Amino acid sequence: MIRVSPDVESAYRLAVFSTVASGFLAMLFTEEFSAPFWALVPLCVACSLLLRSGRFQLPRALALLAAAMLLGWIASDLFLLSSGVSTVRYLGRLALYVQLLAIFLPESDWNFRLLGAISFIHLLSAASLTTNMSYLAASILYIVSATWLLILQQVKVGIQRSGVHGDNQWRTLVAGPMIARMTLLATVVFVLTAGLFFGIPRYGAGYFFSRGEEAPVVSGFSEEVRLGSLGELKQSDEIVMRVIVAGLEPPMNQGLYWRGVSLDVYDGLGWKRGRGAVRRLTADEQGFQDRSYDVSVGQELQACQTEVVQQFFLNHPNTAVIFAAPRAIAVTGKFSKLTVDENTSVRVEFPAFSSYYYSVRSAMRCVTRLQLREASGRYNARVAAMGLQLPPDVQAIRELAQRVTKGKTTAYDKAVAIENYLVDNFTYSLDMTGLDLQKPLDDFIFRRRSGHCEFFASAMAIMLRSVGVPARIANGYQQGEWNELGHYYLVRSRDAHSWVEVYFQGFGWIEFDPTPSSGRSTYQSVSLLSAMMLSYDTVRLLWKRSVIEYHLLDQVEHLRRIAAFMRFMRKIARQLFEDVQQEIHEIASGRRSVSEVARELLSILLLCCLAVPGILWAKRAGYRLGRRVSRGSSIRFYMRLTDLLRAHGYLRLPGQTPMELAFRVTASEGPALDAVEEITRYYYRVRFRDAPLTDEEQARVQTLLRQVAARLGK
Amino acid sequence: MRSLWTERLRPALTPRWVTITPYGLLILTACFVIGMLAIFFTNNLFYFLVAMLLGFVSISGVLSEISIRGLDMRRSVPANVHALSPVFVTIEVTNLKKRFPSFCLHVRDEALAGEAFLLHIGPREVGRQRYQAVFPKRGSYTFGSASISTAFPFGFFRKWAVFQGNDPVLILPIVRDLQFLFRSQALGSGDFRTAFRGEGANLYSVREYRWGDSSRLIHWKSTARQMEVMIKELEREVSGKVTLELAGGFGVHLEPAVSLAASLANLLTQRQIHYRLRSASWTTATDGGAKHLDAALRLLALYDDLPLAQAEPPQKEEHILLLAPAGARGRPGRQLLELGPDWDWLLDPQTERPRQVLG
Repeated sequence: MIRVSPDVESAYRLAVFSTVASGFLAMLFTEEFSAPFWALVPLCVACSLLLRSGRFQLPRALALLAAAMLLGWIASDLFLLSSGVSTVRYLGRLALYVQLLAIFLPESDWNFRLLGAISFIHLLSAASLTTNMSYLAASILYIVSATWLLILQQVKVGIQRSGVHGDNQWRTLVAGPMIARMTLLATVVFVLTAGLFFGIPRYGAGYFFSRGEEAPVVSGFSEEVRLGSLGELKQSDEIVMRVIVAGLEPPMNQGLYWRGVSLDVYDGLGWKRGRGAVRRLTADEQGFQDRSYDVSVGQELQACQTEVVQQFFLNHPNTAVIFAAPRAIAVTGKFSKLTVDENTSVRVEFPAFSSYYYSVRSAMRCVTRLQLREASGRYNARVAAMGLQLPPDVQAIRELAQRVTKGKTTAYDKAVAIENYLVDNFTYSLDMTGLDLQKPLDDFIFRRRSGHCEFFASAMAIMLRSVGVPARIANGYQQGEWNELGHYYLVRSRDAHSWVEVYFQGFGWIEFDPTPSSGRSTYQSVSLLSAMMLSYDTVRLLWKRSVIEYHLLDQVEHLRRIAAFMRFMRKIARQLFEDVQQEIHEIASGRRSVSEVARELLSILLLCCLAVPGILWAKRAGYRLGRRVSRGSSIRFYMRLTDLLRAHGYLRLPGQTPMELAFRVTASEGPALDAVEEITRYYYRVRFRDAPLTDEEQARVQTLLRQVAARLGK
Repeated sequence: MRSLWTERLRPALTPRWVTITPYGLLILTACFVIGMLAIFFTNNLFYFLVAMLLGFVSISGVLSEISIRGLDMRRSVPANVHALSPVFVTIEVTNLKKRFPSFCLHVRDEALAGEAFLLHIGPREVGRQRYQAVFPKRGSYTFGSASISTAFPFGFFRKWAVFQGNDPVLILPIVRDLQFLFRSQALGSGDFRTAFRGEGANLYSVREYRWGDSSRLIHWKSTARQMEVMIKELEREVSGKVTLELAGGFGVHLEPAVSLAASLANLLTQRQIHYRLRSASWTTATDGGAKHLDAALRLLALYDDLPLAQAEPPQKEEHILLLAPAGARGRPGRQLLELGPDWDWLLDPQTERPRQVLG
């Protein structure tokens, strides 16, 4: 048999070891193995390469000793250390050890194929152990190296059988163009893989679902919170979740909360959930796909609500709590069973087999301060029982609350007064060491006057309750950092937050936040590093959304879009065909000359050439074709309002939402300018819900604008 | 028109099919198993692996099809091919494609049990390989169908294409060395001296030694004088002319008879004796040399065993050898060579040759 050229052998060997490396990398990225194990891998690989090079001969006794030690290590790990691990992990370890032994086998085509096959088993094991994006890198490396390996195997067989050794033919094959071709082929395989991945119908039964990553439990969302139980809270930048919001103009400036649980019973030491009924939600869809649960029953939602759809991608779903913007209406996801308690906290009854992704529809606040002020102060028995419960010894707090709310008659004014009191007179601190654990709230209010958000929220809730306003605390997260590139909120551990929900008859529970601004996470950094981190995070989210959480509904959506595009193209083609037919008819009947038609076509072509840069410029400038004009006319009333406000020094700051601007104006000018809020609400409706104003509403808006102009004119 | 046929229509009409290799079977099984895992575990990364395997399988199918498509194959043999003598059959595979090369082509000629492997044929290029083959009998031989297959690029599938044989080739009869049988220089009567170099008894000239010259011809006197090995060249001695007659009706001994005639013609040519061949269908001119031998062999290749009716009387200085079946009667003025089973050794070189000297 012809001996294969050393160059082909080298390339072949390189491809084999590259394939092996891709398998090891895939397993490495699962973070399943400890550092000593990963020290063993390079050691074994280095020894194998050294022995293969022929420069180093291991004495027989030493080789036997090394083999015995390696086998001893493997046996102890597989039979002693791995005894408690799951089957998948155990098989993954087994495959790794087999590979470590296989790299010492003599070089032969059969052994090389074995190495490639075991590497694939590594990829398979890693697929069940991780959802990390680095898996993609290992897969790409595998595709490239496996492409090389399989092709070079064929070339090697070809050289051996055709007897071209000594000829230059193999040189042209393995060098230059062939390398480029093999790399191109690997790229084609990858593109095809991607296409097939998105095209294969997703029928996921989930019969044998494993929970995958055992992530740390998200703390602070249990049914009971003890004030000051932790001496000092640690802030962590660990990413908890990513939230994509539709229906709001992002980024909101400190305006969103991702509510987890709401607690209504305070016993003097901490909060817990009351004994109210827990209702099991029924899904409106059955089967293996996403189910949608209606959680709006019992909530007081207004007709003018702005619905906001949020998509949550949780990093560590090891919690039963479903996070959502306040006033969730519906939850959609792969949940088996959901429950909701009287505080409208939604939980998964059994830990979901995949709670990485779900979407929630919530009703955003759409009431004016005026409306809240006008809300009735009488509450039904259920709300009173839930929101006015107090422990026995709160006399001091009650007196303080009465002092703070002196002269305030409405629940809203009382809430605002207490909120402002806490914000202005207390400081934010994570260090709660030395707190009197018997009377933590009294210690916070009357002695320390500093604490974290749970103390602020508790203080406000209890003070409100003591003056007869129903309140409770809500735990969850602040909105997090806005990722401009990916258009989503990045929520970290340190965004965990507590705030207050105050009940207003007819409007439900409205959130207030007494924590000073220093206690809220701010993300002002625009450094290159942070920009890069956000870009990287965008890619990670894309990976999670488009790969890990890709499912049948996405496929249906893609098909729908393709079908719409095809319909559009067919329509254009038909139109074009008819036009051409018409032109031909006119030329045939002598009504038009060929040159005339050609000139016309040339003009159209020229116009198209000129129009393309214009369209690109318009898109870049933020215009959306066909919508900007109509919307411009429909929101002209708001533009008039902003002109009016600008003329009187109320300029909308970068990052400030229209509603925040309205709140700022109202706060400065007083209730007389509640009209600004109302106009802004109309603007939200027209702008984001595509609901044009009726004639009556237009008349109302004009009246409000006149009021604002008159007020500002004074 | 011819170009359209050779470059478009014929490659398109070439029958092609695909078979799955053991590796392909393994990959498809893995694909199925992981697909089931993906469904049961609802794991998108399993779907990714399934897509990856399917990607490899699809590319394998497409590239092997590209590799095998647009090929044309021709087989050719050297000018003089004798039956039962090993020769190299040259395979020319032309890649008619304009852009795509073909890789790792395995050519198999079932009839001749020949195999060749072409590693790479660029677009519009011709790849050549050869394999050893033995043609079983003389006469016109049409190549049987040959297949080209490739498992490129990944070895999961093997694509096949079958090509029919091209123009027939003429396989010449078996020629054996009969020097040992006919030691006499003239195969019989009528020796003549000639003014040409040959293997006679008289000295023609003396020249320098060339590789292959017999040591028996060393001219020792000249060698001693020149201090170089010198060789004697002898005069040629030939008979007047020889006629080989094929009586026909050989039956099962036809092939030994044809082989004997061919071998005698070869012997006469080697001995530079003019000869002619005569059969029921044809009679060659009386001549010598390689060209005449070639013509004679070509006629013998197609000899059809018809009985020779007329027996012409021998001419002056003509020596006639009559090749007839065993038991046939001799004819006047002819040396009879009877073809019986004892001549079968001509067809099988392994068989022991006779030690008897005939002339």
